[in-house]
Amino acid sequence: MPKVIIDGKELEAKQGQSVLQVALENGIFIPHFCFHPQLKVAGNCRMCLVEIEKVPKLQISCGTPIRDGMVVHTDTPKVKEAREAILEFLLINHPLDCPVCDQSGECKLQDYTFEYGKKESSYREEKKTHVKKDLGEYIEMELNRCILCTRCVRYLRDVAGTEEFCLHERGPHAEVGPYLEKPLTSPFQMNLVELCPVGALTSKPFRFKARVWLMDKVRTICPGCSIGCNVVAWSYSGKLLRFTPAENPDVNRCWLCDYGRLLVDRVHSDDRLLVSMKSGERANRKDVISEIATKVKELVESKRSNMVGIIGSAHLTNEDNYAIAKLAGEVVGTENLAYMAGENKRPIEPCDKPLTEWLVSDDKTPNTRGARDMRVVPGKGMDVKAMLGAAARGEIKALLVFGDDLAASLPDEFRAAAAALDVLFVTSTWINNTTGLASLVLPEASFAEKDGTFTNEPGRVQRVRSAVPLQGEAAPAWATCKDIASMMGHDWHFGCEAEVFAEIAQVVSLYHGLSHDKIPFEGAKLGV
Amino acid sequence: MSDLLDMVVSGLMERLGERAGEVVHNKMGTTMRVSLDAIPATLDFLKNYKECPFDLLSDITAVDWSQWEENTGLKGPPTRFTLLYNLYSIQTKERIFIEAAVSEGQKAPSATRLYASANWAEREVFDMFGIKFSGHPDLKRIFLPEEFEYYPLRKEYPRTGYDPQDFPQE
Amino acid sequence: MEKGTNIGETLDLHAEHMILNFGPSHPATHGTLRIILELEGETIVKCDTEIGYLHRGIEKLAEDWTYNKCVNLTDRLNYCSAFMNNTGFHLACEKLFEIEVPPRAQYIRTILSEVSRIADHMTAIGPNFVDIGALTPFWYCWAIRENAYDLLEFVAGARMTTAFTRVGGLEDDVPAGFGDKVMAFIPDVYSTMDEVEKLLAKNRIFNDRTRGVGALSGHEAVSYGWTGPCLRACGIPHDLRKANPYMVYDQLDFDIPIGEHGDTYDRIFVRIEECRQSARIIEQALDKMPEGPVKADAKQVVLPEKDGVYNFMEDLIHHFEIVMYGPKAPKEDASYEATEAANGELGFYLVSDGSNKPYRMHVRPPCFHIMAALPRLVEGSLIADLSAVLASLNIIAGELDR
Repeated sequence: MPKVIIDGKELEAKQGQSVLQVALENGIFIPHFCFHPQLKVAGNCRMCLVEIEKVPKLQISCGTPIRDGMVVHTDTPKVKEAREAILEFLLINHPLDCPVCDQSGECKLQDYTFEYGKKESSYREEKKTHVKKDLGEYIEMELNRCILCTRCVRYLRDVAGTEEFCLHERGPHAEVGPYLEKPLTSPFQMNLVELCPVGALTSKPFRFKARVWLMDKVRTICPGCSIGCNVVAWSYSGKLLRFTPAENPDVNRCWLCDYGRLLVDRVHSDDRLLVSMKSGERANRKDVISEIATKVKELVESKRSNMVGIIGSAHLTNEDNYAIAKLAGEVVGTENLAYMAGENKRPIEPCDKPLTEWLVSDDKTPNTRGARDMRVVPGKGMDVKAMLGAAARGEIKALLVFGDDLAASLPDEFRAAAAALDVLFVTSTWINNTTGLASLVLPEASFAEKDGTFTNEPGRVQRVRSAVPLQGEAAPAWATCKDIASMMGHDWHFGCEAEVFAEIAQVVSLYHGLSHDKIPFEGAKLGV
Repeated sequence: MSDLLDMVVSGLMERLGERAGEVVHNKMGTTMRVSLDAIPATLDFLKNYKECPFDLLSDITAVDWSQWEENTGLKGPPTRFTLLYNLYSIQTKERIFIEAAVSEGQKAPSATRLYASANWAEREVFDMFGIKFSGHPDLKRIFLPEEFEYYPLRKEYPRTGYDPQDFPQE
Repeated sequence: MEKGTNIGETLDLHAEHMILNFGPSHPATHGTLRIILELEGETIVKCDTEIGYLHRGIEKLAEDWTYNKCVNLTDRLNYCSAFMNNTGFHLACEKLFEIEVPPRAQYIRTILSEVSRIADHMTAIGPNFVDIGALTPFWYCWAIRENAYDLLEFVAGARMTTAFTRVGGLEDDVPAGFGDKVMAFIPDVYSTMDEVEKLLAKNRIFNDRTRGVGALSGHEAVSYGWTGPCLRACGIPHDLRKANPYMVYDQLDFDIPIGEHGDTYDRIFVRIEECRQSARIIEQALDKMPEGPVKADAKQVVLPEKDGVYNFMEDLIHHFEIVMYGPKAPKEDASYEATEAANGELGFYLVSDGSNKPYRMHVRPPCFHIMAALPRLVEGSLIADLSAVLASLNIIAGELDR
């Protein structure tokens, strides 16, 4: 194993690594713009210059492979002077946009100038300007701010798989931009927002919504598909504003898809269901719960438990689904417990191929695997379609649907069932045709208001954390199940999601030994 | 550090033997670390030191180090709290700090026998941190009502307190 | 009958002790404090104090505010002389950040500190006179106080919540005309102090009410942790401006007035004389004040000038970084700086964890230890003496409770 000495510290390195990689892995920070661990090395920003002994000129650490015995210094006066000079050159044509630039607060140029830059520049000429380009409805391009690190060019070419950007012209006229005057087409184009070290490429949906330093952030899981990409949910004043990727080398590396990112708008949309309803009229949560409990109790006590159908959801957390299964098994005693499972045949393990080859899943639900693990699957009972058919025939009198919009996935069957059922109880996050047809409706907490876990398709249990407080009267499904159970005489002692998970860990053998505090940031792989 | 203070510190180290810890020179001045049970002996020595009597006990305060590691990534002191005694000698104009490590639940010896200013200062430390002083004539809360259950300057006490009526919880 | 004799005993009356609440809401308590008195007739048998009515958790708040923002908290400590608190806090910060403040800023800080000291002393002795019953000298003191606050308002924009210092100097330079205004202020101080002294020094009632009342020996005062004018009235010549000079006090010529008996009379007259000495300091400082910048040359701590921010990229970026996140102190460091505030040793203890907020900020308030001795001073005297003594101690609840 070759050894290098950086700033007096002896470090172990792997053959083929660059000086910068070794330094960053060992906690020694060297500023850089154009280097990105997932992109090919370009070496054009010159910010990562370091002094290597026995080499006369400063070398770029991102492009210099290590040799055994190399001695590197990152904090000599020569290096400091070089950094100051580079920053001075970068700022020469940089517009004074900080007050109107979204990148303020997470801008590498700002941070490096503050840390390593000069106090004053000697430039007094006019600044170069560029014509703005329209890249579509997701990315805002402000070319005046670009520092020509070419990360965007390399990303679109190598990682996203669509070569849409290139470096036009050369010398002082160099400019990044699309080959043709067309909007971007890649379904992963919003990663450019985090990739761009300055505010040249910013997110149009998020533009001007909030300042970075004012927002609260929490690490959670994107609810868009069964991959379960790790995200950081940023919120301000109780409103969820954006998702940025959180790094997880085993799930999504450091990327997100656009579809997942845009789900933030759903949390505060106008069609959010926030009140409890009974027969289309505004009602008290307690009344709704007592009515469904009464009806179900009636069927249970008259030995007709199998006339109750309970449908869980792959959109709900493990805790929610476990409570649903517990309600069905212990309290109601029905075998008709099922959920609409998503299906995916595409490969979703991270690999070095373009994102289109592995960061897409056909299963657009986050917890298909989790719901199955919680045993919300038809054992001896019917699956969802069969249940709806049975309801239409009058064999099922009471149907409890948690979370899913069945009127959208199975419109005809659901309509027929709704017409024939005695009571249709639905919890939903948004107002839709399902809630329109139901007699008892309760608002469900959205993915951003829940605490819990999702289990992704390959079997990784990951923590979901709430980013915004519960809106209106919304409550998570497990709390609703607990209330129904208690109205039916069963007292569950769950105070919070962590306690539900503690019971899951005891009851579901695959989840033995796990607990909310013990699940690391990268999730816990089941069966390992 | 002046020669006089040098003399005081070495005299004190000799007097305390192994109960004396290290001497730190930083932007505060001179701080000497001693073990908690050595506090009465230390204060007695310093108050009666002939060439430089530290007759003014300016202040007693404490620091809660429980969030230190999370904030800095460095290892903090071995105990949760440290008590800081601020002593000044009017005659020679020298200032010295005495630091003692206190773990949670440990009782510190009171200095009220030697200095009258320790009375209220220790009450304040008790009120804010919950560090009890044995031998204090009347150790009760000084700022907060008697029924108050928490110790506000401890790091786990949230900035807006626990009463939901007064502030919305963030 | 001698002072303090219990009339109940001599006339064989059935007399009980009365518990009187000198309660937090009272015009003579100079702030929200509570004194519970056990009276035997008019004699105070037992005195108990209860403080904390103005406890706002300043030390806890400071852990969540950046170093520059914390100055707003310090304004509200000794709210009569806010500028001295600002200065004390930022001197401790500058020690921590290892920044050298330019001389002009130090001189301006000294001048404004002394102006605040005069304002504070006038706020202390004016109401003291009112409590004793001397209503006329109150107005003379109050006129000076108004002039002092006018001057502070001229410079900082506010009378009491000045918040004028920053880490590395001052927020801004003094406006044009400052020197003239100060020169107009100073003669009034001398003349008013002379008048007040003439009115009261030989006044029979005043002497009866204040001489020997609330007396404390120097040795005991030190044991109680007293500093400032109250300690100097007891005869101990301790002043941090002379003992451990800070800012530019070592370059200025002034005296420390010392009392003799440590009674109320001495405390009042020490303050009167200190105002004269403060005026002396201000005159000299104004004379010696150099031209130059008022902010230190530390790019990561001090905000750049406004026209730089609007026109130059580096200045804009530095402005943004300092305002967004605040100057970061060196990691793993602590500093303590004590200044001679109007009431005594005002110390600021800061522990930094390398971030932009203090990990621990502690204020050593001068009033706190002075208040602790109140029972010792009044037990055995008459209730009328309590008002006189309490006012002469200059207890400011903001500093006492934090």
